Amino acid sequence: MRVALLTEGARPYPRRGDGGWCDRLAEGLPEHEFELYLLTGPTALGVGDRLSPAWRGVRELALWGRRPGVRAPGALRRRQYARAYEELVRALVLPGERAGFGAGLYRLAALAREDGTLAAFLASAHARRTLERVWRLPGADTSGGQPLACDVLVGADLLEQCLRPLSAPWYGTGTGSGGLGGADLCHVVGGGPAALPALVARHLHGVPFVVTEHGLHLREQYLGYREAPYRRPVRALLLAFFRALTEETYRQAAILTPGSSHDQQWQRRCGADPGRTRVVYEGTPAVARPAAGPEPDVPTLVWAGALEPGRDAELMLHAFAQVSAGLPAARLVIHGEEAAPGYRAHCEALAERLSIAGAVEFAGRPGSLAEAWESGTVAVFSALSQRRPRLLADAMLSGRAVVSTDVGVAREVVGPTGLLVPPRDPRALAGACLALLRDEERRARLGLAGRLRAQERFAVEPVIGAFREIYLELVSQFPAFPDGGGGGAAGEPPRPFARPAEFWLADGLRGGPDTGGGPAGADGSGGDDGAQERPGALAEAV
Amino acid sequence: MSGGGTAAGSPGRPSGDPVREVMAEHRALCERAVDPLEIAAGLEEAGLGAEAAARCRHADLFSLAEELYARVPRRPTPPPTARDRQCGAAARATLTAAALAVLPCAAVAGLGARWPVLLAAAVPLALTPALTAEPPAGPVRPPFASPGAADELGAERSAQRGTGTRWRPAALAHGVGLAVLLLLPTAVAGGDRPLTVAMVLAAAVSAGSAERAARWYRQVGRGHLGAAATLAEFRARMRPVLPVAVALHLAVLTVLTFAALAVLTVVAPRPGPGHGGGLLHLAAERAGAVHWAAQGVLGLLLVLPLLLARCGRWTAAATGALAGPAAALALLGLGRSGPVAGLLGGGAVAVVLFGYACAVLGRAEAHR
Repeated sequence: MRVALLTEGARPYPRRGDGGWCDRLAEGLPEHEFELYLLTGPTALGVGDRLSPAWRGVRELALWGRRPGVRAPGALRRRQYARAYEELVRALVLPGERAGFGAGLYRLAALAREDGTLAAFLASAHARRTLERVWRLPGADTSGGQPLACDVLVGADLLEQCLRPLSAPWYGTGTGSGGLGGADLCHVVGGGPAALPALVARHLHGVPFVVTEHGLHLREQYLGYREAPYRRPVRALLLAFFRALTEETYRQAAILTPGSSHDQQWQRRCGADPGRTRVVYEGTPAVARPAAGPEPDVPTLVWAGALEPGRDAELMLHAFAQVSAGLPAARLVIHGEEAAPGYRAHCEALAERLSIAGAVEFAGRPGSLAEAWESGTVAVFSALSQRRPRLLADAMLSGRAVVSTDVGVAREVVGPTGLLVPPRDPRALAGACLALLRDEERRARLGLAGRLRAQERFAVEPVIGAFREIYLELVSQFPAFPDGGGGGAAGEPPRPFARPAEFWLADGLRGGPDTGGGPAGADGSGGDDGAQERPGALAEAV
Repeated sequence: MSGGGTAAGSPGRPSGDPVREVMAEHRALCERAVDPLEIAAGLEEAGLGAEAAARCRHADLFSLAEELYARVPRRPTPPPTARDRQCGAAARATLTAAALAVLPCAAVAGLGARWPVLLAAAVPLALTPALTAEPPAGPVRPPFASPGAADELGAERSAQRGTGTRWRPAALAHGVGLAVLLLLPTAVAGGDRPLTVAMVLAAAVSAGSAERAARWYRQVGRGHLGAAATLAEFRARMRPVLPVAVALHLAVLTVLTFAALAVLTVVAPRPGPGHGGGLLHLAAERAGAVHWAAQGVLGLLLVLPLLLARCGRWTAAATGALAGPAAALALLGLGRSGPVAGLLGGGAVAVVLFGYACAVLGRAEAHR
C-alpha cells in the first residue's frame, strides 16, 4: 500500500533528532511504498539525493522563514478567506467557541486548495485586522494583558507560518492521483504542524492517519514558548493554536502510538481515546551492540547528558561528594556538552568548592555512547525530568547497572532493573550509588537484567511489526475508493489489488468510511460531525 | 521514596496546605502561565511527578496544575522593555554615510569631472546604502523546540537565525541612484561651478543626517509599535512622524548649505562690484532661489529612498533613487539648465515618493 510519511525537521542529519527512525521504518517494510513529506526549516534541505532507496519520493515544504511570494487573492475570495480565518481565530481566543477550530481549519484548507493564495492572505493587512478585531472582543481570553499592535504583527506572522502546510501542493484530487489524496494512509511522525496535511487529507479524501510521537510536540511547545521573547497574548494565542491542533489531531487520528506510557498520559489529557492508543517504544539499533567490556579498575560513576540545569549535574556533584566521603577511591566522569552557557564553569566551580575536583572529570562529548558507558562502573542519571527514554535505554543496553532519579519515563524504562531515587535528594542518590559500587554481584545482576529488559523493549523489529499490523488493520477499515470504486479524476487506472481482502469484506457492512468497528468506530466518540460524512459530500459543503 | 521532608526542599515542618508550598515555590511559573497544561509541563520539568501530586491530594499532575492555575492570579505583563538605543551604532552609521558620500564628491570636485574619476567616485557611493544598513532581522521565528533541536548530549543547538543579507541587488541599485544624484550636478555644472561644488558637498555631508533621520524614524516606529493598542492607533501616532523626520533632515541640510556658502563667500567672493551687507547676507545671496529649491529637492531625494529602504521597501527605494536623477537627466536633454532640471524633474519624483512613503511607512508592518 502507499504510505505517506509526514514529519518535520532536519531529518537527514544523522547526528540530530530522530536520526534514522523513519528510514528504519521504511526499510523494514519494503512491501509498502513510502513517500516522505517533509516540513523543513527556513530553507529546503534538498534531501532528494541523500535519501535512502526505501523511499519512493520526497516532497519538501519550507515551514519557517520567509514567506514564498504568491499573488494576493481577489476581493471576493478575500472575504471568504477572512470569514474562515475569523472562525479559526475565534476558536483560539474565545473560550466558548473552541469547537469551531476544525471547521475553520478545513474551510481555510479548502479555499487554499482552490486557488493557492492562502499564504498571501495570511500575510496581508486584512488578516491582521481580522485577528486584531477578534482578539479585542470582550470575553477574549488573552490571559491577562490586552494585545498591542506589536502583538498583532507577531501573532499574525507566527500563525501564517504555522498554517503554511494548508497551502502545500500535496493534496491531489483523490484516489488514483498523486499526493496525499492518492495515499492509502498517512503516518505522522512528531505531531504539530506535520499533522496538518494529514488532517486535511483525511477531511478531503478520507485518508486515515497514524500519529507517532516520541516526545510530545505540545509539551515541547509549552516549554519552548516559556522562554520565547513574546508577550503573553502572543504566547496564549500560539499555545491555544497548538493545543487545539493537538486535540483535533488526537480526535481524528485512527491510531496513536506514543513513545512511552508517560507520553500517553499527556495524550489522554488532550483528548486521546485510550482505545486507539498503543504505546510503541522507540526502537534503537544500539540493541545489536555487544555489552560493554570489563569494568574499569577504579570504581567510577559515569554521568551523561547535556550540561544544563534541567539535567541537574549539580545534584550529581553533591551526591558524589558524599560518595567519595564513603569510598575515597571513587571517580566521576561527566560526559556531555554545555547546553546552557556558563553551566560547565558553574559545575567546575561547584566541584572545586566541594573539594572533589580531583576525582571529577569533565570529558566532553564521547566518541560514542558505548565508550561513555564502558568508562564507568555504574551509570547515573540525576535529571529533573526525563521526557524521552533513549539515553536511559542506551545506558541499560550497555549492561551497566543504572541509578536514576524517579522522574518522567525513568520508572517505566528502568523498572525493577535499576535503582530509582527521588529527584533533588543527594543523600538518596549517593546511597544508591554507594550500594551498587560496593556490591559487585548486585550490579552485575541488575546490569544484565537491564540489558535484557532494554533489548526486549527497544528492539527495532517489534516496532516494525507493530506498524505492519497497524497499517493492515487501518486499510482494512477504510475504503480504497471513497468516490465509489472508479479511478481517480486523473485517468489513472484503479488498482484493485492495492487493498487486502479484509477491506473488501469489511466494506460490505459499512455505510461510510467511519462507521465500522475497531479503531475507526471509536472515532465517533470524538464527536466531530464533519468527519462522519462522506468526503464527496464534504467537498461540496465547504 | 516519598519522604515529606525531602520533597522539593520544603521545610521539615508539615504544613496544612501542601499546595501552598508548591505554589510558593513555583509562583513565577504559575503567574506567567497561559494554560494549566503549561504549569503541568513546568512542574514536570522541575522534577515533580505523581508523588508530588499525591502529596497535594490530587490524582495526577494535571489536576494539581489546574488548581494552581485557578489559585494564582495572572500578574499583568510588564510593559515591553525599550530596546537599548544603540547610540553608538547610529553615530557610527551617520559618520560612515557622511564620509562615504563626501570623499568621492570632494575628489570629483578637486580632480575635475572626468570619466575615470567619476567612475571611481561612484563605487563607494554605490556601496553606501548597503554598508550603513542594519543587518536585517529576518522574519519572526517560533522558538525552535521541535523534537530533535538538541540531542541528549547537548549537541550544537543550531543557531538558525534566519537573517538575510544586506547585500541585496536593490541596495546596490539604490547606491547607484545615490551616486548619480550626487555626482551629476558636478559633472554637468555650467556657469558657476564653485557654487555647485559647494552645494553638492553640503548635500553629501547631509547624507549622514539622512541616515540619522531614517534611524530615528525607525526607532520612533518601534517605540509606538510597543505602545499603541491597535493598528489604527499606531497609524494615527505615526502620521506626523514622517514629515518631522523629513523636516529635520531638510533643516540640517539648510544649515550645512548655508555654512558651505559662507565658506565659499570667504574663499571665492562673487566677482563683480562689491556688495553691501555682512557675511551672512552675502552667503544667503550667493545662491538664487532656484538653487535653494533644487538643493531642497536633492535633500528630499536623499532622505526619502533611505527611509523606504530602512523600513524594508528596498525595491521602492531603488526605484525612487534611480528615478530622480533620470527625470533630471531627461529634462537636461530637453535643454533646461542644471538647477531647473533638477528642481522640476527631481521635484516631481520627490513629490510622488513622499506620497508613497506617507502611505506605506505609516503601516505597522514597515516597523516590525
